[in-house]
Amino acid sequence: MKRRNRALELAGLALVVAMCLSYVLFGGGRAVLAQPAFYAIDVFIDSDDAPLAAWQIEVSDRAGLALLTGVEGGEHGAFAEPAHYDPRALKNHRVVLLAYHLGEDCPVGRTRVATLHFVQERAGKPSFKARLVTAAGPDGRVLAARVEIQP
Amino acid sequence: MNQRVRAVLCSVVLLAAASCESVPGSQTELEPFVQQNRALAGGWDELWIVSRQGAPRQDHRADSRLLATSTAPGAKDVELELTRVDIRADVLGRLGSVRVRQVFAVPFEHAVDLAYELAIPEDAAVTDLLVRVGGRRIRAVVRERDEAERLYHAARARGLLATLVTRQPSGRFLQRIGTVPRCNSIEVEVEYLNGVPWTGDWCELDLPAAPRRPIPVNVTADIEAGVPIEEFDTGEQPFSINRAAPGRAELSLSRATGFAKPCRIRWRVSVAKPHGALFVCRDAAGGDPYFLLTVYGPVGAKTDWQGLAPYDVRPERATRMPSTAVAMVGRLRHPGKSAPRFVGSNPSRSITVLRAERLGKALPQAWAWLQISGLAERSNTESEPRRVEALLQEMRETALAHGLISYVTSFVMIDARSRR
Repeated sequence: MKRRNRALELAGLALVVAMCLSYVLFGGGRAVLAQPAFYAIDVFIDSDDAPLAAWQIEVSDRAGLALLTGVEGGEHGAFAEPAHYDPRALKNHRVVLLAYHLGEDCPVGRTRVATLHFVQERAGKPSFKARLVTAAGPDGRVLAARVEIQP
Repeated sequence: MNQRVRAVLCSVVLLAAASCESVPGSQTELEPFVQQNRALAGGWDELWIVSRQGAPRQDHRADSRLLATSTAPGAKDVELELTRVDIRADVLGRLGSVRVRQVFAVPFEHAVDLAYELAIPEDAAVTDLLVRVGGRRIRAVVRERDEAERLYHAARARGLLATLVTRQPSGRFLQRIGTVPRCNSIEVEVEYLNGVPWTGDWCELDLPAAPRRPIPVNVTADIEAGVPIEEFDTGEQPFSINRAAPGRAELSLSRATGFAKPCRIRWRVSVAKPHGALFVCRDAAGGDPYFLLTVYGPVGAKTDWQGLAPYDVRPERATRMPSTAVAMVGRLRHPGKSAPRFVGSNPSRSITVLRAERLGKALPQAWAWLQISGLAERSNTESEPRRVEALLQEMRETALAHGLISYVTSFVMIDARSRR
């Protein structure tokens, strides 16, 4: 009986510790900044030698601190128009962007396809991670491209 | 087929507005139509018809003025000069998606704040906003209204370029642009959804006015009625009309000066017998497809609604298009696992089924917009605070998920790399 009580106590303690950790790790316990911080990150896609005509990426802040406030177009004319974002994804501190270009003049190599503008109202360091969902050339063929983000 | 599915196979919303004038399709003539269709429907739960022929039209703003305000005490507002207007309208059945791009000259040597009442209908839903300043083009993001306002003011206090679009209690949309840096021009591009009213035989699309000044004005309208279009009437405006198909046309107009009154495009559809067009599209997120059902025709005649039967159409909720006659936006549910076939048409039936290729994004947003309108009406009549809060929360979540401005959401854009 004693052993069982001890096990229950330990389980309860572990639960409390886990809750505290998640509270701190996921931003719930972070102090509110006196002045919100505004910053932007650039998103690049490198398609090597292949022309890039369409892409979809996902950028997430694992710290759950950054709120998207604007999507700026890229450097090449094909993606100068700001990419479309999925509003559903914003709820979970994820930014899902997609853009395509139907013309023939597509960028080749590494190109800035978007700039994301964020605001942060709580203290802490955002932890951004970018993932290329898909990229395709003008013929619709899927490309083995890479995505990277840069402050 | 599942009886319950058949039961709600075709819910068409009935709103015989009390303000209807005595025109074909008015309240008295609607009764036999409803009765006939109830009989046709058999086990349908409900059959509603939207009819607002003759209802008062909501005017667009005759002109939209971008006012520059100085923070200096006693300073007067200065109206900025509009230098270019581009309007692009896409119409699907009775749903219009309109994109308006306006370019203003900014003749200031210092940063200014701008205020701007968008020249769009009050019952529209704003679905996109872009601002271009100094060669940079940034898309705004939908946020909860309180949060958007807080962020906008914080950014403005920091000297950052920011914009905020909110719906005012009057129904108009106000855009504020804070800390516009020294630049030659500012470009505002807004997209909105709106119903296309039907007055008798004619569908009417009103487009925002442009001031009667020597500025380039370009208007294009791609209209897909879903049924054959008999003729167009563009009033004084010499549109060129390209008839791509009996039910589709592209109209274009390029002028060197604006037009003082809102530009109105009218088209008449064949109404020898009731005819409907069911536009369907897949939800981008992979969920249930959405549909737009538009019905034309002389009220009182018999409609072959059974044409919808093979498609297992089951509206999630009864919805209606504001300011329109007979139209419905909804969601399709399919009890079976196999994907239904929506493409093609059958001329022997009164319903033509078409894939909504051009306005695929607009149908889910139109659905969300109508849900929000319904929730807003319910919240206005609800007295229990907890229920009101629950309705507001549902409005908020629907608007945020579909990226449109409602009473509880706004568009905000902050350029983090700008400095005064």
